[in-house]
Amino acid sequence: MKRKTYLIEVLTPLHVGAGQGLSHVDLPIMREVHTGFPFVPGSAIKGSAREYALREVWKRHLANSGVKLSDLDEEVSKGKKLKEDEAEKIKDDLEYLRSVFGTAGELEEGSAGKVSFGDASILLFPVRSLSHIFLLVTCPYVISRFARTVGMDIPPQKVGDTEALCYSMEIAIDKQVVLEEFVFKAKEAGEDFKKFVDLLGIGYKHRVVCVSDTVFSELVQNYTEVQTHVRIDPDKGTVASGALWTSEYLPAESVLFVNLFLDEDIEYSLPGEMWLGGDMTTGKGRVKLREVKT
Amino acid sequence: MKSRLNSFSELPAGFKRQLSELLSKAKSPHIGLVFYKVLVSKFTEDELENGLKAERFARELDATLKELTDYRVNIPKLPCKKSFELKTAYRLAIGMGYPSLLENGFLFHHTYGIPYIPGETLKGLARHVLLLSIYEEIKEKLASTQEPLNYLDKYLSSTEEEFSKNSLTETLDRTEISIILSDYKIREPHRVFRRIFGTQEKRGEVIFLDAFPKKFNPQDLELDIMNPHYAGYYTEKGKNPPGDWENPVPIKFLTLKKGTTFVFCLDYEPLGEEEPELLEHAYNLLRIGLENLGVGGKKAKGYGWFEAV
Repeated sequence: MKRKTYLIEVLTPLHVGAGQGLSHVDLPIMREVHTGFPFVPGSAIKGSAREYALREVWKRHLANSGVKLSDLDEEVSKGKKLKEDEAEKIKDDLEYLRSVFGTAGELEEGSAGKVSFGDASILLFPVRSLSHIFLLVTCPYVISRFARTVGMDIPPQKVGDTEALCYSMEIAIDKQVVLEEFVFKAKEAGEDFKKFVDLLGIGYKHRVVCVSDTVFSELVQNYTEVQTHVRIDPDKGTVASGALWTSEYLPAESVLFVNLFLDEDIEYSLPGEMWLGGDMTTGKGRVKLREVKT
Repeated sequence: MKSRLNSFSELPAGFKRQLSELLSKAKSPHIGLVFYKVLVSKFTEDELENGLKAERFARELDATLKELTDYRVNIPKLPCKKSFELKTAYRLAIGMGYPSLLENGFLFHHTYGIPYIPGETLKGLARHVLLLSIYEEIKEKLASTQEPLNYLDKYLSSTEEEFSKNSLTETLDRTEISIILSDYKIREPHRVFRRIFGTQEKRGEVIFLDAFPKKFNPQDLELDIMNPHYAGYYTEKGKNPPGDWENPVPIKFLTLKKGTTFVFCLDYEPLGEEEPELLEHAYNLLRIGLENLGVGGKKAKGYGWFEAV
């Protein structure tokens, strides 16, 4: 087994929904049961990555021959959909897609994929601030979870509930950091923390702060993006009755990390950019994917 | 929102003073955070308890925005297949429905704190333009229908089965229609509609991304005023006549200034067939909508309209 770790940088708000909710939001995002942190299940990532890979093959070989993308989808998972000469032409691609993503049981010698997709966990969460517009927040628990999965040695960060460890003190105003309506004492972070941030290779590293686990938990649970949606009645020009609802998003600039585990004999990389989650046609869920070398 | 503001005014006075001091030293604050939360720290307990006058809030907001002369923001640029620019032909008032101490709200981006136009507003607008255009073409056929536009809307987004059974499909097949308020034409508009905007069974093939201003300074936000003279007449319909003995009630609201250039982006949905004609139709529908119908609040007064840069 080989491991590949990717960062998922959220470019536009991301809604990986948990269905209907009982809370103040009508359509909440998925959260881990034990921490309440937002996450993206591996199945959602695999689904989008598979769609992307199928499309690449379809565009290269089949788009002009009248074969639909859904036909290729069926051919990969169940076989017997394409004409024999068409299937023969893209034999290598079919074999590759099947070995990466697996097939349905109907196919002879059906198999599971050789790449297993883990769940993506939150690493940096953007919070509105009085300096630099927004800051990227993390916490000791999240860092140690990341360190453990990538096999790095980062000593546990010590931070009190009223403190914020800063990668760069330039984000502090009067030695204080403001996150939403809360004020924290700014402290310069140690070298271990800076090394961890450098490793991520993100553009906004001066924005990264580390708060306590309790504060982080409070922020990711209560300060996600909630958008109000309406449907306008075309005859009346006003909001259609009953057509007002709210849905929750992981805000733009959030960063998650995900581990892929590959069989030794397979090569696979996630695409550099793709769409994840819901509301895609109104621009939601555009993400950037980048492998981190650890 | 209200409960949060209340709990905010209940915070220890020292804490509020500290926040207000930090706000006056802040160079690049999140403007949405200032507008909806932190600016409250500028007011005393008394003012907040006795009902803060929107007038007083507006003055403080204006002063705060004017001081942010060294404001830095990176406006996100997303790669997309089709982008174009238009500028606001008059002021833009968007998100007025959100509750705020100014009485009317304003829409700021959750992360970037700048004004923007959500993709869903743009998709809705383009969809509305095509819906009205199809309606103009076949309105005689719909004359006996109760809510003709709702009926047409339902028909256009119905399942493939219902769509092919409806007699409107045959009427519109091989027909070319003119798009309202323009000389742009679309052939088989009902099929184009279903492909761009999606149906109950299939998602649309075009993505409408959020539109951001090309440049933004806090001074681009301007306070505006509406001044209803007959408050009694408007609040209790029909009970009171619009009498000259009533006093005008000035209500302030926040707007984005005229002449702000926005960048609009359209892209293909990743499973679609990437047909350039489809993107071209979506672009024209959106542009016609922005130039003639507008977005946001007070459109009938000319707010939210766009023109060529």
